[in-house]
Amino acid sequence: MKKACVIFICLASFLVSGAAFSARNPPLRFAPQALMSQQHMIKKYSALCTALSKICDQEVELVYERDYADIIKGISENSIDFALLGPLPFVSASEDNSNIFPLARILDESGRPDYTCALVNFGDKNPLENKNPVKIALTQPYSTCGYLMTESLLDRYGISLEQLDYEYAGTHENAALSVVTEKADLAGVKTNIAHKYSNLGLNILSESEFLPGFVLVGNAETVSTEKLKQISNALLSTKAESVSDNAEDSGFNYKMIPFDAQDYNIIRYMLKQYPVPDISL
Amino acid sequence: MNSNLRITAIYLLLVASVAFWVFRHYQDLKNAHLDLSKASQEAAIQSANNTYKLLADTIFTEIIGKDRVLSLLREVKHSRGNEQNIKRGLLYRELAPVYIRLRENHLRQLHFHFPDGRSLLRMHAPAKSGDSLLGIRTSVEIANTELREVHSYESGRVFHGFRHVYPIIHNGEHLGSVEISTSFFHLLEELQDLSIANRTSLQFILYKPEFWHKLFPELHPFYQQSRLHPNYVRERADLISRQCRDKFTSLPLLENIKNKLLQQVDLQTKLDQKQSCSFSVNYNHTTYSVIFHSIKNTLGEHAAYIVGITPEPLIAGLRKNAILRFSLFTLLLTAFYILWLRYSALQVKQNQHAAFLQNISDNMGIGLYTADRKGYVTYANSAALNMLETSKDEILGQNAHKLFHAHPENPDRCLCDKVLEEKITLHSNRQIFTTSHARHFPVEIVCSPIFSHNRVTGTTTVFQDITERLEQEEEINKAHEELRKMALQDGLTGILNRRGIDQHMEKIWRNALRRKQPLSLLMIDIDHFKLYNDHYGHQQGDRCLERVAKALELACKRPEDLVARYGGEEFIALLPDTDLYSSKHVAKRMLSMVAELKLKHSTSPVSGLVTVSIGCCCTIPDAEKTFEELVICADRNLYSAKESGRNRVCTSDFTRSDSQER
Repeated sequence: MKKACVIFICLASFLVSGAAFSARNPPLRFAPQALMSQQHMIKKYSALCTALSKICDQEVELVYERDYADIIKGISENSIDFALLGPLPFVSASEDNSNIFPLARILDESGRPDYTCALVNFGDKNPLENKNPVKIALTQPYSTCGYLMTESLLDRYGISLEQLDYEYAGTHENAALSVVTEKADLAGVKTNIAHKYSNLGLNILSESEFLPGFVLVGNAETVSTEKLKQISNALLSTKAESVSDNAEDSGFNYKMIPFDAQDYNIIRYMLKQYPVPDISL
Repeated sequence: MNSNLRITAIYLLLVASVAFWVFRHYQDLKNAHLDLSKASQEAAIQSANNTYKLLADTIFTEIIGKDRVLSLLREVKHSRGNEQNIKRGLLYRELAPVYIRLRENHLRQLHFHFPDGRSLLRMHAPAKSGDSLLGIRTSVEIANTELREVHSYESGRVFHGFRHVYPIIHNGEHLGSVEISTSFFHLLEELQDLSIANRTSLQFILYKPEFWHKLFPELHPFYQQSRLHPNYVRERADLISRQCRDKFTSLPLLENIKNKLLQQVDLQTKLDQKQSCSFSVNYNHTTYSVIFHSIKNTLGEHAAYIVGITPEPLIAGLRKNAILRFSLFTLLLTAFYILWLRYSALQVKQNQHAAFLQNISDNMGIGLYTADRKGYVTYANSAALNMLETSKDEILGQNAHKLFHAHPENPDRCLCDKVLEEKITLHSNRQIFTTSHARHFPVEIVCSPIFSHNRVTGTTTVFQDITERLEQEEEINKAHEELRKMALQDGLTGILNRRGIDQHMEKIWRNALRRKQPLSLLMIDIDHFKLYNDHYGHQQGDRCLERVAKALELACKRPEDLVARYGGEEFIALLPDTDLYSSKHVAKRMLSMVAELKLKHSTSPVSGLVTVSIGCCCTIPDAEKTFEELVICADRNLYSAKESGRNRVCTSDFTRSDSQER
């Protein structure tokens, strides 16, 4: 009887400790920006994911979501702990969800903290001048260069998207190629994408002013604020090389700068000026 | 012990040989099967390649060959700057719908090149163009310099796979070239459908030195080091499409098989040789073949491996069969080994016993030899060899009868022949053997039959040289005779003494009784011999006795007549087959012969010479008479002779009981 009790206690201790161990180590989930293929996303953000794991001392897994809306929904439903958001989705999600905790801004591949959007067409003919109706390809509703900035750029021509036939292509590449393949007459894409496809005759009609770059955010509901602050500090003080054995091979070649909410006022302003249908604010 | 060690060594050697032979046989069969599998898979690879080549041919002919496409290509070639970009965009626009459909049908790349080798348009990566492929894409160089089609595997800056590069010539103008290639994973899918009935899992590993320098650096992270060899990489499982990953890369089974494969000692060596090779791996009670198919690039150099992993129940069966065969052979050998050990132990005992017997045989001092039924010697001990003064070489295999066993008493029939016939042991102490030096010697032999399975197969003869014994016996007989004589003779006179005459008396009495012959007995006494002794001394007395005895003996002419000294100066004469008359005559001769001795006896009252008195008695013995009565009769007559004056004979016939005086 005594022996049975000892075995029972040992077994119970083992089960309780096992449960505690597994409860203590659920993997955190990181959803990078959605406007790229899953392969590209994994390649580009595996190193950042590893860096987050090291800093958190906890496994962090990549989550691929095709749509910003799904990422924002995931944060609000606490199924996503970290996300990389463009300026529009960041502002949009922050309005709705106070648990979104900006950790740092990420500079782009060229080291710039900001970027521009462009309105592109094919060849040297401007469809806005003589074609009606005009078809226009956009990325996603939550993409900054999507409806918001395209509407802003069209406004220069005194035209609104609501007057045109617009479609969401899903990604910048798809939007650009829609113009090349004549599925659309115009597209709103990031300017560096427009340059990339210039070899196919893509032409920049108009380019926006500089917009603040992408923000790495944490979910304060699932990760403590204190921990998030630690992560933010660690990321900002960490050089790319130190979080990966081979930074070049791992693709972790981004630099981080501190987040400043003021930088995103321009988005808030433009949102007020050019409300985006199909997104919640 | 040494024999056992040798047998143990032979046993172990045989077991090792069987193991080696069974293993070699198993290896041969396994390798033959692996070669068959390899050939089958290579045929499947070739077939899949041909399928995609046909597809590529069709695309080139039916799509690229359209006037519109060729015309746009010419315009791209001849335009510059933004105009060229627009023409490229128009070409992309023209081909995009078809390309999307082709992608759905496993086409991966549709890539146009300028005649100088620069990229004109990548349908799969349209944003990248203008870069030179010279030095990177040999197939492109060949197609644009030699103006011929190239169909081979080739690595590239983005994708690697089986490429079909066609030079584009329109209206005599060389417009450049186009590459149509298929997704490698689709090729693997095709392979699985084609060849291996979905039993084979396929993987693709790339030879790093062949392609790494060509790859866009930003694509390096898409590859991970292969665990099989440091010179090989494969696409990262987490970066390829889920469909491909599930089918080809992430199966835990394959990873476990790879772990087993890494334990193969010659894996690195074989992969270093960059040739197709095959292995078999046992995992989880199943045997798998792992076949590396070397993929050559356009220049015929090794560039990658397609690795096919297939469960092989046949190899497992071969292995079981080999184990079974080895077990059976080992069991058989072990049984032989144990039997041999037991036989060896028995033989050792037999040898010890034989040595023991040999020792006894050699040291027993008695000659022993064995012979077969024909008398040929099969064995002889040391004593036999010594006695026969011969050696084993001279005696073994020789006929004993001819060589040494002479039997002159019956030259045609040997004692041993009788033994063989009657199957009994016979003894003889009067056999003659002959030495190798032709010296005969007497032997005592005991000859016994040798039985084997109730059949007499030969004889064993034990013999002893009895030369000395016979000599000793002769000497003893002589000594006995001498003693006997000494016991029966009188030591002074040399004639029989009283015991001697007693010994003869009985015999002579019985002869006379049997033959009914007369027997006479004389009792003789030297007259007044005491006085003679007193006067002449005992020495002279003894000489007197000798001479009287001699005279008495001479008086008896017949050999059968016996004279003996009966005691002191008394003598007795026994005369067989002599009647009273004749005995009286002999007695008188005795008197005269004693007288003739003329021995002086000065103190004798009878005469001045030595004289004797004789009592004689004769009888024909019968059952009612005894020899003692004859003696008493003779003694009474002697007394009568003395009483009547001595130097005379007094006789009587015992049958009549009277006496006569001289």
